[in-house]
Amino acid sequence: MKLQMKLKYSLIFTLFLTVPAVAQTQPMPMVKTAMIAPDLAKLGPGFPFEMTGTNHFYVEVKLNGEGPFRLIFDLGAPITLLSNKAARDSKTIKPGGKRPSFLMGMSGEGTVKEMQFGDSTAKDIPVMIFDHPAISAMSEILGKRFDGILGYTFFARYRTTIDYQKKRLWFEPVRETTENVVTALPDRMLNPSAKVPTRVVVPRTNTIGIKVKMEPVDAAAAVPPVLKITEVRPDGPAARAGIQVGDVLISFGPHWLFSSADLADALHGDEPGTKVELVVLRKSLTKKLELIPERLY
Amino acid sequence: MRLKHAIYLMGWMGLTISMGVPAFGESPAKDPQTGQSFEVPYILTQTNHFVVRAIINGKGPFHLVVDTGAPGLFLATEAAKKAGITADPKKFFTTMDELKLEGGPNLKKIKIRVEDPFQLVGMNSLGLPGVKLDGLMGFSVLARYRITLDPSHKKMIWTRLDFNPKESPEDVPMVKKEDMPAELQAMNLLGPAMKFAAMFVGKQPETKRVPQGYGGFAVTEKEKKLIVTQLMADSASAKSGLLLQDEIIKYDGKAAGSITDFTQIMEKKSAGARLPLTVRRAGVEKELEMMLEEGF
Repeated sequence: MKLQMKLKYSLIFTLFLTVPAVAQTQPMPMVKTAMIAPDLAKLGPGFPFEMTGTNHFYVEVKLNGEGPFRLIFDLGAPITLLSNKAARDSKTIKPGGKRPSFLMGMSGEGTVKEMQFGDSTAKDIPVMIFDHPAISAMSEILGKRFDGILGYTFFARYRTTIDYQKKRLWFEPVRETTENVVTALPDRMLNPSAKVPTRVVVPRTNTIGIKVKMEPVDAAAAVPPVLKITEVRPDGPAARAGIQVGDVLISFGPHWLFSSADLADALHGDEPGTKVELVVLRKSLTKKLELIPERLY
Repeated sequence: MRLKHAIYLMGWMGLTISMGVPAFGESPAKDPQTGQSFEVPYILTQTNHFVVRAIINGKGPFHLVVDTGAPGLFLATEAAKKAGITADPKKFFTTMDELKLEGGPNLKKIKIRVEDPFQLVGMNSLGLPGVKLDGLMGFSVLARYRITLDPSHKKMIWTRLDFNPKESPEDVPMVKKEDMPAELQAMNLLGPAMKFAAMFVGKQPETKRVPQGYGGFAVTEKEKKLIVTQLMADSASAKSGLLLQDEIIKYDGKAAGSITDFTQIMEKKSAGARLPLTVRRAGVEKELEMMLEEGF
């Protein structure tokens, strides 16, 4: 009976977020790669993964030439995690070194010098060393040892493609290193003066020649349209596409528009000359329009 | 005995057993979106979580964490209430009518679990991610797509596969909290503990996102010089006295760098922010100040 409970709990227990928070202090500059679906034929056979039986999946990797180790691939994990045993066996920590603390065997941070998966090697992956109870429970139930979790600090370096049907992963490197991982709680949480909302300016590279205002939200509407066009610059891309003052913005390309920040996001990144479909609401009719944004500060 | 038990449990949970039994779907009707690719915009939270927006049963938007570490789709009780979903307390899963994700993926009649995983409770009460998280999107949704995630882009690519993971039965009996392993109980306590901590630390407000301000001009880098090449009439740049062909030699009080550097400075300025400029025009240096406006 106890076993049954354990299995169920490991099923509903999501593995992510083992440590309260990981903040990034220095955002890395983004590398530009083409935004198109990957050509799997060109990428080769990829890297196999296996389902655990609890709807998680894991990969087998070599760490510092040792292993293989089984790591749960977890997009929801902000960090990469190794068990104390795996950390010792992979020489990530010295045998007989620091003793794990009483709380879930938390032994602090380490760095895996080399992580090999298939023919590829990732270097200097920051890891947390920690015996996650869900991992231990899964290992016991499934009768198979799991060694940790592969999290953000790993996949932040790759363009990753996941295919559950083929049970394969493809990795294409996009960055050399990962952000500096702060294992402490974020400054803003510990800093009592941080009660002011953090203000983030959403960058925008392109313009279409409009001004908008946020409409008051109609509480009765399920998904309220909120961005109304108040000005259209003559001869701008919006004017050329036939957009009128009073139109309500619904979507821009794949982006939903619920705020002016969303519009900035939608106008960021595309190369000038890229045609985009804009959906507006005019006199309660949906209209689809095409326009080409222009690059202006 | 133990293995048999585990396999049995996995079986009725509708999960695949790792070796070879492919989880081919039983759903007879092919999804009309099969084969289609979508660009799915995402937000990377301050806690390094990939969040996608969703409209559930026509309500929303809700913020869902893309989580291969979650076995299914979990929706917080508050969000479920907003979406008009009432969970049957006797059943583990609830079926929801429609899940629409930003960018186009659309699923009908999928099973969800209405629950408040401790991670969401804790993070939300402290406001750590910067946006309110409404749920976790795991295997039962993700497995239907081939997903490409490029951290250097703000969009993922989701391609609908001709594949549906096996549905789980609805009548999974509930587990009593006291029956779970002690360590998991301890982990589950973290949520309320963080809520308690929030009383002292104070909940952090959600991040306020404001759009970059509008100046209405373009700059081109020519032979390591920044030259104004476009200027919109009546825009903030025109009002500041900037002219076409001006060379920008200083901005924000420092010597001009590359166009990339200039762009990075501009990316931090919202409407109302000031941009002090020194330009060279016909050999003469001139100081200007632009006040950025709202505009797109």
